[in-house]
Amino acid sequence: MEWSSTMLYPVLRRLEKDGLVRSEWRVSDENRIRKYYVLTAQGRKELAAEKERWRSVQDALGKLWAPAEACE
Amino acid sequence: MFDLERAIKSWRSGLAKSPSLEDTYIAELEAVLGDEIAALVRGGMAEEEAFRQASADMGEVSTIGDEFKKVRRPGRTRFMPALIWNYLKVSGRKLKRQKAYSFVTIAGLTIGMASFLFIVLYCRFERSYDGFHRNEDRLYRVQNDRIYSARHDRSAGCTPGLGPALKEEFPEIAEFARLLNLSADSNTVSRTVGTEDNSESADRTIAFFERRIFFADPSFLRIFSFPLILGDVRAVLEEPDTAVLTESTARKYFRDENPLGQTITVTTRFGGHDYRVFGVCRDVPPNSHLRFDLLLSYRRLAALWPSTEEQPWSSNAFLTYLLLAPSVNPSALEAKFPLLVKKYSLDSAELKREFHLQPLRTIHLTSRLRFEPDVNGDIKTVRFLEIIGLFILLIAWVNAINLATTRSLQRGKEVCVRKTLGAERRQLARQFLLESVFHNVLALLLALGVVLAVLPAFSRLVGKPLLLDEFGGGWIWISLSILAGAILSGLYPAFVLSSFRPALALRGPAQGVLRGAALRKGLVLFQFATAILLIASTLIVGKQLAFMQNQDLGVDLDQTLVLKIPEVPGSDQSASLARVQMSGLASVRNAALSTSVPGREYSNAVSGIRRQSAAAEEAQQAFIIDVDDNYFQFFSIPLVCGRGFSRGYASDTGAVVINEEMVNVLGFESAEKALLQNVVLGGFGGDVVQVVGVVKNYHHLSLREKIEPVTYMPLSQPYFRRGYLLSLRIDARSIGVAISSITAKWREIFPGQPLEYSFLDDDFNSQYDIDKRFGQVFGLSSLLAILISCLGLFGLASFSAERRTREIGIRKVFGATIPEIAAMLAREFVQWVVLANLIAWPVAWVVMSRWLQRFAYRTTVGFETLAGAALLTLVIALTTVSFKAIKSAAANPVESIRCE
Repeated sequence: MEWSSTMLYPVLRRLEKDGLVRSEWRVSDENRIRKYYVLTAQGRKELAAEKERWRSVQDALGKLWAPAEACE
Repeated sequence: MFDLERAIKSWRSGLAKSPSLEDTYIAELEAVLGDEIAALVRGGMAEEEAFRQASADMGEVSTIGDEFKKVRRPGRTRFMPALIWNYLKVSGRKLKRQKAYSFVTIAGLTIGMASFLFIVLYCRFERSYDGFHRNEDRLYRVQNDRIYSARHDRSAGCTPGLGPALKEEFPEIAEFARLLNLSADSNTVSRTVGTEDNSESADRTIAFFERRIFFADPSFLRIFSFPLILGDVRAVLEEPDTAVLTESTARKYFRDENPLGQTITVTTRFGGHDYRVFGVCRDVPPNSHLRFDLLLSYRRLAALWPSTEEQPWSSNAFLTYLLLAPSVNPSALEAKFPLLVKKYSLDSAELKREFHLQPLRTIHLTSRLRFEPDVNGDIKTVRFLEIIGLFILLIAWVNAINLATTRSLQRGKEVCVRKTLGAERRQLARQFLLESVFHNVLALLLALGVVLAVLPAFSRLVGKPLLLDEFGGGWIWISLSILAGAILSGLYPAFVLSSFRPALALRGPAQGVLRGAALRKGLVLFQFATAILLIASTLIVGKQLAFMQNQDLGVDLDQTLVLKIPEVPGSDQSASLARVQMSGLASVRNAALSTSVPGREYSNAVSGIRRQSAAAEEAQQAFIIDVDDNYFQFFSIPLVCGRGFSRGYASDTGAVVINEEMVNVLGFESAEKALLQNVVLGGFGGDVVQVVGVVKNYHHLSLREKIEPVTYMPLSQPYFRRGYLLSLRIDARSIGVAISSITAKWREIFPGQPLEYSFLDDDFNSQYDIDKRFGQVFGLSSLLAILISCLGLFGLASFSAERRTREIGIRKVFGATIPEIAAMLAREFVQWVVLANLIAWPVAWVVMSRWLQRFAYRTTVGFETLAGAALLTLVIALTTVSFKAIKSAAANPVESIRCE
C-alpha cells in the first residue's frame, strides 16, 4: 500500500468523532483557510495509555528477541 | 499558460466524484493542497510543477475516497472470508495442542447434546401418539363419568347404547365406533391345518394365547387409519362371523398362505366360535393408544351377549369413539350432552351421568380412566424429562463458557499478538465465536454418532421403539437451536477474550480474566444446584421404588406360579380338574383358583352395592374377585372375622367375603357388625348376598393405588366370569422339576392348548416397571449431568491452581503442608457446593413432594435424602478438585516460584 499525506485526514476525522481531538477552521496570515486540530483531555489520556501500551509491547518483544536471560 | 485556479478546481471536481467525500472533507483537502503548493512555490518551484508534485503527494483520488470511506462507517471492519480458514486452522491447532482442554470441552458438549437428543427423541415419541390417523383432529373418545354420593367414577368404558344414541341425536357426529375390549390372559386363537388335502397326516392345531382382542363396529376401520393390506374396508366386519387380523398375527397363524376366507377359532369368555378372516391390516403403530392384534365383528356380540341389545344402558365397558363432522366445535357439542342424559333418563337416584369428549391425541399422555385399553403415558413425566434435557444441555454450555474463559490465560497472548498486528475487537470476537461454533458442531456430530450407536440400548431402557426418523422436520429446529446455543455460549468468552488490552495481558497472566469471576461463579452455582437437584430426585425416586417393593403387601406371593386356564368349552370343569390334579403333583405344595390374583386387575366392578337396609342412593362401587375355597389360605390373607368359602356350606352360592375397606364403604361400624348382614349387588340384577367373612386389607394392586373395597364371590357363582387363573405354590428347591411335571400334566388336561405361566412376584413387581424405567432414565440423566459438571469443575480447579501456582510455591516455602494447600484450594469449591445446596433443597423438596403425590402409599422426601445428595455432590466435587489440588500442592516450589 502506498502512503500519502491525505491518509492522515481520515484518521483525524475518526479521532474527532471519538472525541479525542477537536478541530476548528482559521484564516492564516496569508489569508488562507486552514483547519487546526487540538487534543482534547480525553485524547491526552488515551495518548498516554497508548504510549504505555506500546512501550510494554516493545519491552515484551525486546525481551523476546533478546538472548535468554535469567529472571529477575 | 498554466492556470493554477483552474487546475485546483478540476482536481477538486475529481474528488467530488467520490461518493465518500463530503464537501467539508474536500474543503479541508483543498486547503492542504493550497498550502503545499504555496510552500513549494516559495521554495522557487514553478506553479505548474508545484501543483503536480503537491497533488501527487496527496495521492490518487480513488485512494483518498477509500480512506475516507472507512471514517464514514466507523468501526465496521469488513468481513474477511479469507480469515475463516485461518480461524479454523487455529481452532484445529488448539484442538491438538490443548488436548486436555479440548477433550473436556468437547466431551462435555457431546454428552450434553447426546442426552438432550435422547430425551427429545423419547418425548417426541410420547407426544406423537395417535397423530398418524388421517382424521386425528376430528376423532374423540367419550369419557363416561358416573357420579355417586361418595365417589366419582371416570371411565373410558361406556354403555353399548351410547354410540348409536349420540349419532342419532347430534348431527355434528359424523360416525361412531364401539369397541369391546376382550383382552384377557386366557383368550386363545387356534387354527386347524392339514386336514383337507392330506388325509394321512393328523390334524394339527396352531394355537396361541392372544391378549389384544376387540369386538369392533365395522365403522372402526373406516374412521381410524389402520390401513388394510388385504380385504375391502367397506366390507370387513360387516358380517357377524368375520375377523380382521394384523399382519404379524396373520403371519403367526398362516405363515405365507393367504389368510382371506380362512377360518380361525377364537375362544374368549363368551366361549369358542369360528370366524372367517375378512381382512388383514398393517400392524398397529407403536405410538397408538389403542393396540389390537385381532378385531371381531361387533355384530356377533348381540348373539353372544344379548343384554347389550336388550339393556343398552348397562355394562359400562364399551370404548366409544366419535368422528365429528368437519369444523364442529367439540366443547359446544359436549355442552349438549346433558340433553341426551335427560332424554334417555340416564340419571337415577344413586348416580348422575356426565359425558365428555377426549381429543384422540391427548389420550395417551393425559387420560387415566378406568378401562383404558392400554397403559398410558404421563404428560408430567414428559415435561419433567424435557426440562431435565434442557438443563443438561445448559450445563454443557455453561461448562463450555467456563472452560473457554478460564483458558484465556493462554489465549491472552494470542489476542495481544493479533491486536498488535492490527486485528480489531470485532474480528477477534468473530474468531472466538467461530471457534465455539466449531466445538459445538464437532460435538453435535459426535453426539449424533453416540445417539446412533446407543439408540437400540436406550430404546430397550425406555421400552419404546425409538427411531432417528422420529425427528422428522424437527431436525432443522434442533440444529438451529444448537447453533443458537453455540453462538450464545460463544458470545461471552468472545467478549471477554477480545476485550483484552495487549499491554495488560502481555504483562502478566490473570489480568482481565478475573473480571468474569462473578458470572463464572454464578454459572458454577447453577451447575451444582442442578446436579444436586438431580441427585436428590434420583435418590427419592429410588427411595419410593424401594419403599413400594419392600412394603408388606399383606399377601404371600412367594414361589407362586400362575397359569392361565384357556377358555375352552367346559373350562369350568377343566379348571377344577387342573386344580385338583396339579395340587397332587409332588413339587406342588398348594393350589388355588380365582379370576384375579394380586398384581392383576380386579375381575369386575359393581356400581351399586349397598347394605340391604340402606337407601338406593347410598349404593357404592366395589370390585369383584371370584375365588375358590382355598384362595385366602393360599395367599395367607388373614380373616378378621367370620369364615372363608367352604365346600361344606351348601349356602355358599349366596355368600360373599369382603375386605375391611368394603366394610367402611358400606358403612358398617366394624367387621363384626358386617358379619351375616345382607348386601344388595346393584349391577347384578339386585341380588341379595350375605357377608360370611371379612378379610384384612391387602395390596391387590401396586402401591400407586389405594386399597379398594373388594367383594370376593365364590367361584361357583354363575354371574360373571373372566377367565381362571390357577396359582400353584411350588417347591423352591426344585423349580425345574415342578415346571416340567406341570407341563406334562397340562398336556393331559388341555391337549393342544398353549401353556403360559409366570411367577407371581415378578408379575406383581412388573407393575413398577414404568416407575423403574423412570428411575433409570432419571438416574442416567443425573449421572450425565454430574459427569458434565465434574468435567467443568476439573477445568475450573486446574485454572484456579494454575493461577495460584506462585502463591502455592511461596506458601510451601514458608512451611505450608500439602494437605493445608489442598484444603485451601478446595475451600472455594466447598463454598459453592454449600451455596448450591441452599438453592437446590427447597426446589427438590417442592418438586419431589409433588411427584410423590401420585402414589397412594409413599415415602417422604426426607432430610436425610437431601443431606445424602449434598454429601454425594460434595464428595464428587472434592474428588474432582483434589485431584488437581494435590498435584499442585505437591509440586516442587522451586518450579512454581521460578517464572514461567
